[in-house]
Amino acid sequence: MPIYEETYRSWHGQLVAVPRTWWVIAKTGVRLLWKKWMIILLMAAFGSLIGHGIYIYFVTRGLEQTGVGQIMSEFRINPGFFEGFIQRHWLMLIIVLLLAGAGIIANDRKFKALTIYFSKPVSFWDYTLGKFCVLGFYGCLVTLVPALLLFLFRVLLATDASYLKQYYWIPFSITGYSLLIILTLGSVLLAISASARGTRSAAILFFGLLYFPDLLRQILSRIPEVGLIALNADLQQVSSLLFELERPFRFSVVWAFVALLLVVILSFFLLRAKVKPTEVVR
Amino acid sequence: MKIDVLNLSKWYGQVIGVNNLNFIIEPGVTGFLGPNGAGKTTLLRLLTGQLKPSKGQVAIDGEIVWNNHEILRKVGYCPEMDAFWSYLTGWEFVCSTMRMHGFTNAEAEERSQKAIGTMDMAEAQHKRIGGYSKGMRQRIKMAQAIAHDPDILFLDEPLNGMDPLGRHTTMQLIKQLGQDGKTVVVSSHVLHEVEQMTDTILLINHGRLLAEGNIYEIRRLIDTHPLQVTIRCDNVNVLTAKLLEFDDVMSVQFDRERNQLTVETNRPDDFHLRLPKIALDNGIQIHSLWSPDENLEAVFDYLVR
Repeated sequence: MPIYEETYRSWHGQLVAVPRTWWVIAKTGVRLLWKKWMIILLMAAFGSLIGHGIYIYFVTRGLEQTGVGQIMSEFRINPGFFEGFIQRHWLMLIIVLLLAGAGIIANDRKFKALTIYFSKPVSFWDYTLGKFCVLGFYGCLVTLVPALLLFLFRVLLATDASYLKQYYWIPFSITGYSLLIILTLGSVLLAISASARGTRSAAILFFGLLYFPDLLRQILSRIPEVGLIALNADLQQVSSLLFELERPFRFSVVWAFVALLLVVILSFFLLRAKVKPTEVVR
Repeated sequence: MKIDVLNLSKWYGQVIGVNNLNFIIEPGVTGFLGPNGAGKTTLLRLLTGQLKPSKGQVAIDGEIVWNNHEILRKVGYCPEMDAFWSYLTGWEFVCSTMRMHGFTNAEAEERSQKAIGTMDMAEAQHKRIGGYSKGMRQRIKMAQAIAHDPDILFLDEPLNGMDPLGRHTTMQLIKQLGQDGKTVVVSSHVLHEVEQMTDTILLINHGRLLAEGNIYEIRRLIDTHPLQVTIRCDNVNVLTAKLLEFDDVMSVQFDRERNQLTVETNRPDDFHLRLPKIALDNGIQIHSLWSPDENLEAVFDYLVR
């Protein structure tokens, strides 16, 4: 049984200003979400990575060397393969983000914890960046990290440097695309979490916001510009530019990028309005 | 450290939370008193920079508080609400708030350990806050407020839900902090508790400042309500007769069995000056003298109700 000093003693040290308060928020958030279900999801993401790795092994060592892969383009480990890999992780990313992010601000509002945060030397920027980093961390573990590992694996399997010379830019595209997805979905999710009444409603809203516009895009497929309202369509359009692929939709890549930028800006304004230490009760 | 409040107002749309307040809080313990909905919590949130004033300003040692995160390093705040972060343990909660204050991991852990010990929560520190009783949650909130040794402490209803021992310990701690030169602001509607911690109060109702200063001084200023003075002496009859000769004595009630009389006077200072002379001239021995309505509750009653 430990014995603790129970009397109050003044502290005579000098408090050092730490400009990285967001780091404390991010670290605590990541640690709190490191639970069994999250580990299972991340293991599933790495399971998919192993599956794709095996595929790469067979294609590289088998088909490409025998020349079949040169003839049948679908068997090539080209930029489209890595873009497709991230696309295939889309649903897993949504689930991870929902589990990690739906309650990330909603719970703080529910428990009225914002008043604790903002009675400390924590600014709106620290708080928002800290929370965003939590989503970023888990988002990257599902998209960026496995995709980069996969590329590394492909490079290691190559017999010479020709593959790396030809596709040296793929890691940049993977990074750019993953970060763009996380920035867009993360900021939307933070804004929804800050506005919703609770975790469940935030999750439903986020899911609806992702899939309803996409459904509308499919229904009104004759009008290509409608696709701009669907986040995943915009992201795919931008990714086609990053990975030098054929455009999947008929609207401009620039407009797709502008649409994504607008979504991020709007989310930020919503966050700014909602993340306050106290709620006004009328 | 000194807190200056100048023309401070806060509106929520049509509703006035705080209305044109002007006061200065000096080091020591100051009690914010007022009934529920008086504006105490709004005022505390304005003082901690969590709410933007609609008008006026709050300054701590000359520095404006609103949007000034650096000043919050010197401030400890114990909010009223207690339903927070139920999934964290008390230790994790205090430690992470210390990290937000800028302490290194080791320092944050040491400070948290001491503060948790001071609030007598050492045994329960590794349990989740969700399993804490109300009193325990109060204590852990207090621990996070004091752990970084702030110069200014804002405590919103800090004794709510605490057991008598916890109340006593916390009140002693608050008094000690005041004596150490810290500026401690305690908001409460439990009058006798505030009275035990400090004589200096700010009385708030409907967002307005009704009175500020020493409880006894405030009481004397309320001349519309006569002051009651109870005297226990060896000759109740003679003293009653002598006191009734003066204009300021409005009534005298006496209790022969206890040799006690209660006088109502509208000029307390004159009365207190005159009483020793009457006692000496008439050979009356006064055993005790006190004022039953010179306490905070009476002052509160007169001003608020």
